[in-house]
Amino acid sequence: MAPKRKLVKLEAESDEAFQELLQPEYKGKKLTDEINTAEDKWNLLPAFLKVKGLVKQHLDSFNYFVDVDLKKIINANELVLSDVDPEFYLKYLDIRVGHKSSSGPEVREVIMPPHECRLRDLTYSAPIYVDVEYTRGRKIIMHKDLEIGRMPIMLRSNKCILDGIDEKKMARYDECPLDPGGYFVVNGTEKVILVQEQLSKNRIIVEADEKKNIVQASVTSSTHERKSKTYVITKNDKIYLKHNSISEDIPIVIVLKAAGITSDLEILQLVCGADPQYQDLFVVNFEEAAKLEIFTQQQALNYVGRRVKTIRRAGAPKLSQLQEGIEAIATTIIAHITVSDLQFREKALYIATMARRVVMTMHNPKMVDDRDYVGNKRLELAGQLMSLLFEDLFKKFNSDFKANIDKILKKPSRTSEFDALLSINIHSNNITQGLNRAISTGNWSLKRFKMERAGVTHVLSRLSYISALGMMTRISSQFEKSRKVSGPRALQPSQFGMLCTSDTPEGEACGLVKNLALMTHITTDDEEAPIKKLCYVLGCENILGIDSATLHSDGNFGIYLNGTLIGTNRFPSKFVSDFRRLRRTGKISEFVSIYTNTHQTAVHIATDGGRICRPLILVQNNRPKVNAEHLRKLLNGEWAFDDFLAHGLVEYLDVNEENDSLIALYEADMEDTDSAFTHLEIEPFTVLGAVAGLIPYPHHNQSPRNTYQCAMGKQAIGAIAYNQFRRIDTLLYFMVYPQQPMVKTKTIELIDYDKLPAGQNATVAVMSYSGYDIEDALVLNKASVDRGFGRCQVVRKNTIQLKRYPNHTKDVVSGMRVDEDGQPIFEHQALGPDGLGEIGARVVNSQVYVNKSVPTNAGESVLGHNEQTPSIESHRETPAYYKGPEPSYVDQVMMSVSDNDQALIKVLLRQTRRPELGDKFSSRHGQKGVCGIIVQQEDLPFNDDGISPDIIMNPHGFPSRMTVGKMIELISGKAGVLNGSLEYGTCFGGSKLEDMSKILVDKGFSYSGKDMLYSGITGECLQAYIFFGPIYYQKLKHMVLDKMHARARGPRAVLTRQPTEGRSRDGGLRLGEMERDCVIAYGASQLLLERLMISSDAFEVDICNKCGLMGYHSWCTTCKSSENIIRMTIPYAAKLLFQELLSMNIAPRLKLGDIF
Amino acid sequence: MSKRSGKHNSLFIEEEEEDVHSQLQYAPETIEEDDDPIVDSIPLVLNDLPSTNVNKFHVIQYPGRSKNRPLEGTYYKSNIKKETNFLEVKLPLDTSRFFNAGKADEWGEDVGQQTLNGVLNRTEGGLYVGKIVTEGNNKKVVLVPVESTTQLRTSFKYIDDIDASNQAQRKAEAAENNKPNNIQILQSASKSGAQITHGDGFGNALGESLKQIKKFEDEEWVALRWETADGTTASTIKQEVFANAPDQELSTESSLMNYIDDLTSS
Repeated sequence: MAPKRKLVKLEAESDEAFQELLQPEYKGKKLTDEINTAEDKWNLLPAFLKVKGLVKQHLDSFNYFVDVDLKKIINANELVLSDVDPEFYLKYLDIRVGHKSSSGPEVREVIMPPHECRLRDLTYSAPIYVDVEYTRGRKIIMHKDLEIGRMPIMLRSNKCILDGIDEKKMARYDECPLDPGGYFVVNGTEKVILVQEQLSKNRIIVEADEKKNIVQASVTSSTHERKSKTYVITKNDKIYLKHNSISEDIPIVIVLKAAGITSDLEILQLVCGADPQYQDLFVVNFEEAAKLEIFTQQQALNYVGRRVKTIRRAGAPKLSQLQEGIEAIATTIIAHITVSDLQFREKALYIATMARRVVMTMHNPKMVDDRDYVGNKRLELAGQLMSLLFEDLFKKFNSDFKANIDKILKKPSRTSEFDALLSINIHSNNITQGLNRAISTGNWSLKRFKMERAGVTHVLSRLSYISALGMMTRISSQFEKSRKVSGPRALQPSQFGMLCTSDTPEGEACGLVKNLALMTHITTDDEEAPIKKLCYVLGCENILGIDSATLHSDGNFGIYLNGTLIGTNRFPSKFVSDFRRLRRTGKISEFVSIYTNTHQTAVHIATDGGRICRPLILVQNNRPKVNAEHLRKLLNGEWAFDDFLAHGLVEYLDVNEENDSLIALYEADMEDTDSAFTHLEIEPFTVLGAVAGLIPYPHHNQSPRNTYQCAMGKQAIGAIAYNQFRRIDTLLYFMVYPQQPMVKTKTIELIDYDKLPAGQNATVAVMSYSGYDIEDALVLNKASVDRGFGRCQVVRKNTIQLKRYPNHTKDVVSGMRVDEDGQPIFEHQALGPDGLGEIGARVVNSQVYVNKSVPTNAGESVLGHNEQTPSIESHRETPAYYKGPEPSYVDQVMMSVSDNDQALIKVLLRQTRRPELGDKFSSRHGQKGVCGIIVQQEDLPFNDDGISPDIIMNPHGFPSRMTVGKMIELISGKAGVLNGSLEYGTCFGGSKLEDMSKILVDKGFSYSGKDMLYSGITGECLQAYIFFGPIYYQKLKHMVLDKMHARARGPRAVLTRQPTEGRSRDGGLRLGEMERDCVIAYGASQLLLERLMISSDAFEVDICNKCGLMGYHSWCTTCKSSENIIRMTIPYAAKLLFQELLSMNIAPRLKLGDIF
Repeated sequence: MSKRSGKHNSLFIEEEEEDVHSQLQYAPETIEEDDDPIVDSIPLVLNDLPSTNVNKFHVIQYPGRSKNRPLEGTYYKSNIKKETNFLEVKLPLDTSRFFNAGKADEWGEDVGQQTLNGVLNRTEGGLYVGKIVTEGNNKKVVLVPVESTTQLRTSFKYIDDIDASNQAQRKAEAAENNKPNNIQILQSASKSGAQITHGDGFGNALGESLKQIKKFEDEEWVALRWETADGTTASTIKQEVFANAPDQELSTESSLMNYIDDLTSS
């Protein structure tokens, strides 16, 4: 650990951002200033984020995957053997990503810098090298650095070239230093593997249905090989074991007997201990086994074996009933516990523990577990998902390879000596393609678990910096969205400090999609074995040495390691405190958690990955261990966050261990109290996540408002990244003059929102004006708009590929065409002589920006008559037309070659938009509104200083919304403007309202933030004082220009001949069912006829009045006459229906009669 | 660590009443001695059994047997399967009390003895047999590492044997009845070819646990000689271990921190 820490320190010193901490003045604090522990302990937070970063969970997980997990996968699948030649073998010795054996891990052999991959639609990847040992003839050959595929590399992981480099180098790679990384670039698009929330694996979860009188304990066993779920359930007060591969429920006593506990007394001791109440509940179970005359292990195994659903693989031998039984008990049931040396004891104890939990719950229904409790959840991260995928692909790779060598070895006479490596390379594309495809489509299909999961990856939203960040911290749940259960959606008390309390979407995914809080860490797997060894040393008695009678005796605490009983201890508190001491001294991983559960008389130790945890300050004798001296060291740059961990001042707690602690929110809470606190919060505002952290004074807002802001903060237009003008994305929005908010929060500084803001400080007057401000509409000042308020740029990418065809022809870009005067024709006005749009050229509707031509003979065969005439290359123009109501300007043109050797042209078109009527704005308090009117500055009210507002907001927005935080933001902002300072609106803290009012009064304003305003129209002063000051406003991405749509005539769908649907297809405006009902109710039948038929799909048909069927050309084909033909107009859709009915032998006949 | 009773033969040695301490050299150091003053310091001595590769200590527990009925005096039959670490001890059955003679008749003669068996679990160090030896004024704690522990449980093999014989009989009867219309199914060549390539006939397809079972069944029982606690062999071993042994005195060379580092490094 020590060298790692040194590294971190070095890194910290080299880092520019951290240099600020070393300056004599940092965030308004001088080095010589007195350090107030209570207030300055928040400095741990930037130190934490310095080390951990905002998306550390993704990076840690990926690093663990490439450094540790890959090796485990290789070890588990190390041998490839041949069925044909028993002598042949190939053994994998080592695996590395991104560097060869000859070079150290500091070498990063990536394809090219990530930004180039984005631009050129390539995958940012590094080669996967393996070392193999195999036989060639009689010889054993070692081969190092064999490339078996390419691994997509997570940006900023330790295999990425961006890891650990400074801002200058970042700039050289065209990367934004503030970009958090944690995503992949696959085929040029940025893909995030969202964090998945799951119920924890390999743990017993007890649930009860009190109405049906069912108690069930279930455990999902998950190993590398298989996933299965085992239940212990009650049925008519009797206990059974249920498993998918066993056709019927097995009485628990029989299962325990099959697992080697043949004595009824022992079963009773293991399940019930000495508790007579438990014994009474359980004793009925013995009857069934006795009735079935099952006494011995062998009988029980036979009983189980008879009920196993056998799925035999081809070639596997047929097993006897006994063998089936053994197989079921040893490997199928509770698969994560392995049976070695025929020692079934551990498994038997596990089953007995499950039964015990069921009995306990039968006795006391309160002993159930809560599925929604965060401690019972595990988060699955990119690394774990990649590892599942890679193992699947690697197995496939090996079996393909094996099939291939078998085919070759089977041939009796081979001319040359067989070299296996020649055939291994054929399959290397499978791994590369498999990984690429899964990440780019998001479909995770794992053959060995028969798992198909869609929507695992998402395109990283680059709407603004905050939307990208919000996406990286998002957690999606496995629960079905349509289910109407409230439990999984509800706010859990246990998510305090772990998951953001505000940031969740509204609507169907409400509460199912969550976000990480600011100071969380997600664990990766830790080795179990050393922890187990340590437990035995610390006084845990091995479970194999304990007899059944003493296991549950009073005062004996079971020690559970990752849910499995490994021993007991009579002094749990000493055991736990010894264990914690070792953890605090850094002897064992800081992420191993331990806690006592008195209800289960158990000590649980967890080393598994996916637990959420967070750092807390340790407390001794109600005094925090972190003191001024430590903080000074931190501020001086002598210490990094890890030093606090190493010195046992701060430790990570997961949700379960939090429950075993008493955590003080503030230092003051620990004074004058009898309770012995164990921990102290670093900062209470870390209950919120990165996105909710933008809200000033959120603790004064009604809670749903904060949630609304979390959704809208992600839609705000602003700065995206430092490299935003180098990016060519499908669609990007930039704010032209973004400003950092006047009222900041600590979170804003920590996540660098002030460097990449998304909004502007608008002077707001809260008053009624003009009547165009109903329903939250805003009044904008035209002069502000002229000066650039709310102005944004929209850039859109257009991709053109120049294809090559098999007959050696290819697409070309031809130059512009000119008219008689030598001027380019209208369509080609934006083009340059090379046929590409000129940078800066204006492109209007139906003009061309790339003049591509396709060869006319592209489809011709390659083999045919190619010798005779190298046919004159003739091309047909297929230009890319610009379509849109407003003109655009060519911003960038890029020409490159993608990985299939075809030319790739990307044209970036830019529009600059000023706010217009209907554009959407919002403050940071969930108060959105559209622009209702833009008013000349002369007509707006102004104050004594002549300041007129940028925005007028109607006061009706306040009473029902109760966004007091917005009002305080205005006052703090106003004080800040007058004072020349940036004020803070940090949650549970920030600048105090009293102080702000004081400043206002000192500067000659009213304490309340209200000013006297004069009407801009009459010049008279207004009847009331107006609440007037700066509020940070965001422009949201919903703009009228993108939505406005009207159509007179236009395209129709081919099948129904009705107008097409949707704005993008220039569709019609639908008069739907409900609108139709209104028109019917109104009696406007002619309008109805016009809307539904004449304006839509009127069609003239010839109908034979004799047979009632349709004919054509005044001829009835059924009656072979034109006698009774009547021509009439019906909707084409009706005609279509009649014909479709006819096609299925139903004859709809029309009977026509006169109306008058 | 509680023990019902101990016993020995050449391999298994009677264990004295002392508790077995796990990792004695570590435990005292972490306990913070506030109101627990040191009364006496006793040197620790680590001894090995004579000819270690043959003689080893094993702790045997009888969880089904009451403390009040220790195994004493008599010689018992015991067998071991060394490869699969499986120990079997046969005890005579007290048929005078609580014994259903009728049932025993039904089940056959074998019921006359109780078979106990169990898997030997390796301790992987950390478990020692200890004794405080007083030689005049000198005291010493002699520690001898324990190789493995086991819990012996009753097996009801005689019931299984009856089941097996019943089933065999039934099968034989069924076979007799079915013989005329028994159709021979010929295996296709390709399939049997695939079978052959699996090498040992049983194939690689067998699960790990079934392989273990097969290994267990293939292994022959090795009979063990039973020695009583007060027998000569036992006393010589006792003598050798506790009195005549070279007495390698234990002293801590590694510091506590190094020790913990060693423990926690994977």
